Amino acid sequence: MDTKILVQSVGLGIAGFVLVMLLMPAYIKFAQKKGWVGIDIHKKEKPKVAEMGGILAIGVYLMLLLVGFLFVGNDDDISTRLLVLVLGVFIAYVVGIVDDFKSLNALAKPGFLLFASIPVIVLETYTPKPIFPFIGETRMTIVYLLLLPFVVAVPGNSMNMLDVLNGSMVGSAIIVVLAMLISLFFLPVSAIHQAILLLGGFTLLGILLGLFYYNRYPARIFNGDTGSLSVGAALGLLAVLGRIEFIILVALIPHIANSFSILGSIKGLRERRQIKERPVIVHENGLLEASSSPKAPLTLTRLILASEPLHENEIVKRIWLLTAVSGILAVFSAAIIGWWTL
Amino acid sequence: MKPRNRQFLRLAGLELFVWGSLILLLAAYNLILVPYGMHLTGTEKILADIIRFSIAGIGLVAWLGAWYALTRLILTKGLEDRIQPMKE
Repeated sequence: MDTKILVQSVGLGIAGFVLVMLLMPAYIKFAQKKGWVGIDIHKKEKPKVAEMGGILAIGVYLMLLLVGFLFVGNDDDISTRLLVLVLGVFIAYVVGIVDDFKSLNALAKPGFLLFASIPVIVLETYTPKPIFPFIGETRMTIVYLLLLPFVVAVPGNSMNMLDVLNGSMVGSAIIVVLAMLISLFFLPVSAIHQAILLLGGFTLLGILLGLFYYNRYPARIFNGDTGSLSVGAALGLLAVLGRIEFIILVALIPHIANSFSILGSIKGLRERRQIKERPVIVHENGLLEASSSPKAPLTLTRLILASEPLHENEIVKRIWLLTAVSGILAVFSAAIIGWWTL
Repeated sequence: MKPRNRQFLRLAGLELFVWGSLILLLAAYNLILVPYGMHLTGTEKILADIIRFSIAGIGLVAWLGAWYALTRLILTKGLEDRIQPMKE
């Protein structure tokens, strides 16, 4: 592992954490003044919470990635990948902002997110040879190109669909990034791929830790679609740019399972307002209970709550634990890949 | 064991199923289907490709179906855990 890049990446991560921690209180005041607030429906007091914290956090992420260009200097391979990451996340960021302000329909949101993979295709920063455990490197020239837009759009939408409780998305994303960074110790990826994963990964970890402080239970800020779509898109882009598609796919199993079972149960893409039955019922005492209606969407929260009603923070801890299980499986997959390709 | 922990273990089991079966399916595709018809040319090659992709497609749909059925089963089992003490 390149120590210089590692130190620079950790530095960007610390800068991201500090900037989000320092700037967020001012942003919360600004959002409240502007009326950018949403009701926290899972609490009995129904408090009004400042919205779209992702605007600040992802803004800081993009800014720090631009600083990263100073570190990589004349290395064209790494700087091109860094540019693709910046452009891809920026596209998801714009889609998120538009969705937060104008509320895109059920097809438009994932549809527009497909565009986040355009920089990868145009600048040819992908390797159509994904690496799998017990198989090694595979050749998927045409299939890979066809699947590429979904490698970015699926994590984006999956993160968005799990951003339903205080800290659920940010906490689980932190676990996914940690699993990704630990996997780097085992994976046989080149120095170029390692550099982009370190720069993009540590910076993302820093801003997520800062955002987590304000988004954890009881939340003082909501991430908004800007936050969740961009974080998911960043993970998808890092998977492609760093050739760790399988690792990210495994680490995101709870998120993908959540969106897959929702889509399966409501039979396709539907806007939130089109879904009549709520998956979860909020009681006066603050407990959340799973709906037993066969028409209610099959969400991960509903699955966790099926056996007994729980408090919001207990459900969130279970989501993190499930993400930790998939994170361990991702690291284990990386270890198998490393051992297999020895 | 508390019902909430039992439900959590079921969900963790589902993750293990998704992970393990995904590796098995990818291995089967790469070791059996990819080499199938590789030595052929012309119409025979096209036919082999159609067969290959059809089997892969059916396998994918069957896997997604099994995944969804297991998810439904976990919901049902969880709801049964909640109803059971009330009956007693």
